[in-house]
This record gives sequence, C-alpha cells and structure tokens, in this order.
Amino acid sequence: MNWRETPATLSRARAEEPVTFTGPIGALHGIFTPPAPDAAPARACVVFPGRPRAGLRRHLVLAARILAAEGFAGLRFDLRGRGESDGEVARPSRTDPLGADVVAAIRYLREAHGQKQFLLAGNCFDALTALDAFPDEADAISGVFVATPTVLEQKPGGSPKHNRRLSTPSRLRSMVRRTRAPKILHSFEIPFRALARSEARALFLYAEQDRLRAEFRVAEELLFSQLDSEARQRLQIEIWPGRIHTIAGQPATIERAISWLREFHPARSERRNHPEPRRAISNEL
Amino acid sequence: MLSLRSSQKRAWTEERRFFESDGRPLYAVTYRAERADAPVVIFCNGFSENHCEGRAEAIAARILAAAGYSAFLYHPRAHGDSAGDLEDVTFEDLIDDAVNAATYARSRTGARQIVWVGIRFGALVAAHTIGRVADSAALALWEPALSARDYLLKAMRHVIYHEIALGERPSMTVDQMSELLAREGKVPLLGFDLYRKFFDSADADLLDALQPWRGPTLIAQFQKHSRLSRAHNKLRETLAGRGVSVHAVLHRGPDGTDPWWMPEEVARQTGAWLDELA
Repeated sequence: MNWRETPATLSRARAEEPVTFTGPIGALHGIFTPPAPDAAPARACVVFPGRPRAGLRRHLVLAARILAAEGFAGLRFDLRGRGESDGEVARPSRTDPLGADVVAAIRYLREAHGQKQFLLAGNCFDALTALDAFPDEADAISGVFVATPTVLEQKPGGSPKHNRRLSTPSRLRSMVRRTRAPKILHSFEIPFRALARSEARALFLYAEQDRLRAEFRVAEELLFSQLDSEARQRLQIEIWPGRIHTIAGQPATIERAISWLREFHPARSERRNHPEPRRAISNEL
Repeated sequence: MLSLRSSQKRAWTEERRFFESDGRPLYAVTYRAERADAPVVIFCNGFSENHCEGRAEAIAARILAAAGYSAFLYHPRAHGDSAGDLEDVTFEDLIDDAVNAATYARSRTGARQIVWVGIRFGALVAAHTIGRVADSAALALWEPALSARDYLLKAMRHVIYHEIALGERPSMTVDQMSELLAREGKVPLLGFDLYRKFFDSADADLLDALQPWRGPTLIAQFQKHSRLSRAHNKLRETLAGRGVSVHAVLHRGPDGTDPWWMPEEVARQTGAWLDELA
C-alpha cells in the first residue's frame, strides 16, 4: 500500500479539527477528520481509539486521511491515560477494556458533528475496547474491525515469567487451574453477544502463529458456533499465516482495516449490486 | 479548541490548533499561563520510537503551566498529527519547524523569551535552533541524543533487541540494515521508517551545535542509574568548561516503571530550575 501523502490526503490534513470531549473520568482528546467535500459521502464515521491516537508509524493518522479523502468522516483519539487525555496511565487489562471512552466518542460525534453511523477499528487492546462499545451503542455501529484482541480470562499456559516466581505449591495450584476449561472473558463475551444481536458487520482478524490465535479458537468453539446463519454471515473471520500481533505485523493489519472499511461506502455497495456489464476480454487487452 | 484548566497553583488555558510551517499544517498545543514576563517553554521532540514521550510532554506542560510558565508542544512535519511525509524530511526541515513553532508560540502566548526542552533526538534539533531564534533564554535537555548518527544506529539495534525479546533470530545486523538503507533508501525501525534522505542529512553533534551556547542548561537523565552516565557527564563537564551553568537531574521514576511514564518529578524540577533562573 502506498502510504505517501497525496494532494487528497494533504487536503484532509488541512481540514482536521482538534477535538476535546468528556469521557468517564475526564477530558479525552482527538482529531476529527471531515470527509472530502468532493468525494461521494460514505455517511459513516470511522472511530479509531488509540494508545496514543497516531498509532504506530502514524498509521491511524494516515488511515483516517485516506478514508476521509474517499468520503468517510474519522475520529482518532487518545484513550484515557494515554497521549493527551486525562487519567492515570495503566497497563492494558484484558478484563477492563475502555469501551466507555468509545461510547463517549460516539455520543460526542453524534451531538457535535451530526454523525449517525459509526465504524470502529482496533488492534489488540484497542480492538477489545472497540468491541466493548456494543452493549451501549450497537444500533449506531455499522461495523467493527477487530484485530487480535484477547478472549480468555487467562493466557493459555499462564505466564512463564510469572510462574518462575511462584513457590512449588503455588505452581501446582496454578497447574491445576490451567487444566480447567478455558473461560471466555466477560469483557469479550458480553460485547460479542451484543454484536451478534445487532445488525453490524465485523471482521475478526488473527494469525496462526500468534499466541492469541489459541484463545480465539475457544471463541470459535463456544461463541461463533452458537450463531445463527444470518449472524454467522455478518461476523467474518480471517486467519492469516504467520504472525500479525507484532510491530512488524501492524502495517498489514491496518491495510486490511482500510480495505474492509471501504466496503461500507455506499458507492461501493451500489457497484456490487449493479455491476458494470463485463467487457469482452479482447477489449481489456 | 480552548479549555480552561485550574490547579492548586495557577489557572491556565489549553489551546489545540494547527500552525503553518513551510506550507504544511503542524499540530500544536499551547498551555497559556498568566504569569507576566515569564518565558514560554517549547518542547522539541522527534524521531521517537517511544510512544510514552508524547504523554510525558503533555503532563510536563501542564505542570509547568500550573507553575505559571506558558508551555508549547508541537508535532514536527511527518510526525504525529502534523502533515508531511517522512520520506521527504531532512534534519534542516526539523529545525525550520522548530523556528516556526517558536514564532507561533510567541504569537499565542505573548512571551518574548523562550526556554527549549529538547527531548532525546529533539535535543539535537533544539541545539541547532537556539542560534536562529532570538531570546532563547535557557535549554533543558531531557535524555539528550548526543549524536544523530549514534541515535539512529541505536534505533537499528533496538530492532535486534526486540526480535530477540520475541524469541526470534534477528533478521538483520546493523550493518545489513545500513546496507539496506543505502541500497533501498529505507529501513523499517520500531516506531518509524528511516529514510536515506534523512539519515544522510542528519550528521548533527550536540556538543558541536552548542559551541556558541552560553545560556543556563539543564540535563535530565531518564535512566535507572544512580548517577549520570559517562556520556551525560561528559556533556555536563564540557559545557561547564565553556562557562555554561549546568544543572543535572536524575529522573529514575518509580521502581518497575519506565521513567518516561512518570515525568511529574522531572517536570517539577524543571519548573524549580526555571524559578531559580527568574
């Protein structure tokens, strides 16, 4: 993918507005990118929760501008405790995603910018956080791109680093605990069920060699298997070879997010519904 | 975007806007304090792979604003929320952005004097900028990079450490990364892509750049060591030998945390240093 700045993305950079809105524990700061006035309107706003909002190698900045040049509005913002936003910094916790921050962003965009439909995208903890907005705002969300979030209450096999510090009895207790059936996080299951009940589409992206792939297998067995055919069609899964839950894997992940989000553009859906008549192959050569 | 903040000490306002530098919009936050005749403190950063530095700047700017000093932080071109393409950037461009940031920061705060806070690679940029900006009154160097080349080669080594930490065999040596940079014009590092154009342009040395500088200088070391590193000590001694008043601060942060996540103490010490200079 060409990440170079173009006249169209530079024009979106010029149109960007710094925004501040109230989150659950204080001010959250972000950048709103208005859609290009000369592009066919996508009638949706893409929300990227970030830690910080620029993302690694500024990919969220560039993604917001690329999509805005194609007619999408965009908001990238610092989750609480990150970047410029208020709040104490904390390690990302698989049990405490920050969906309330995303809900605050959606409500702000609705009130201050007249946005009605939202697309969410996140990687890792930010994906769990995006998903966590569903119980409160499912009706307003058209789609969510979910790359490699955690699924289980505990890492399969526990943390070797942590286990080294345990005494022998503690280690034995830990082994017994690990032999129990893996338990899906409430912070994954509750939003997932809200997503399944909604009309939103989703793409869950994992890679075979990532440790989180093993966690997602449990979700496939216990949650996806229960979906009816309509929901199963809406909630796509892609499993790539290799690893994506790495710094090196992030560009490919965000590229996939952009290509998937583009499918929500009405112009693209219209083209799908009314395909142009195929030209003869000889004309194409 | 303007919001009013208050603390136990003084009130200040925060203003988020884009300003123009070389025809591009650059993102900036102005923390405007009410202390008359106080300098504006400009944070200068860039080419970081460490995502907590931006937050450290924001926290420090608020602490300084609460102490009565207007503060200003900005994203240079091709960084953060600013426009621009890293592929086109040269070291000189970063200096131009710092000069334009100073002009804009003055216009927003009404301050005449400037105190530069150069953070890591930004220390090199600040050191090259102070000669071009009149009324640069003082210089704080937070974990300064002493040489642009060494900083960028160290960023290459970080890729190797990262791969080893993942249990992988390093994909390239530093020499191979350098060859790739020379051959392909680009090498991906942890937080940014390094382009040959920038690498070739960045032959800066901190002590060389500070040859004419005689203003008060603070060196803040963000490391777990209990004393100044050899490199920082050499920096201190060389500057002191030139007649510069140098104040050194060790910022180690709480145990078990990266000192960049908890910049409050070093920000307070920087504020106290400014109070002493006043």
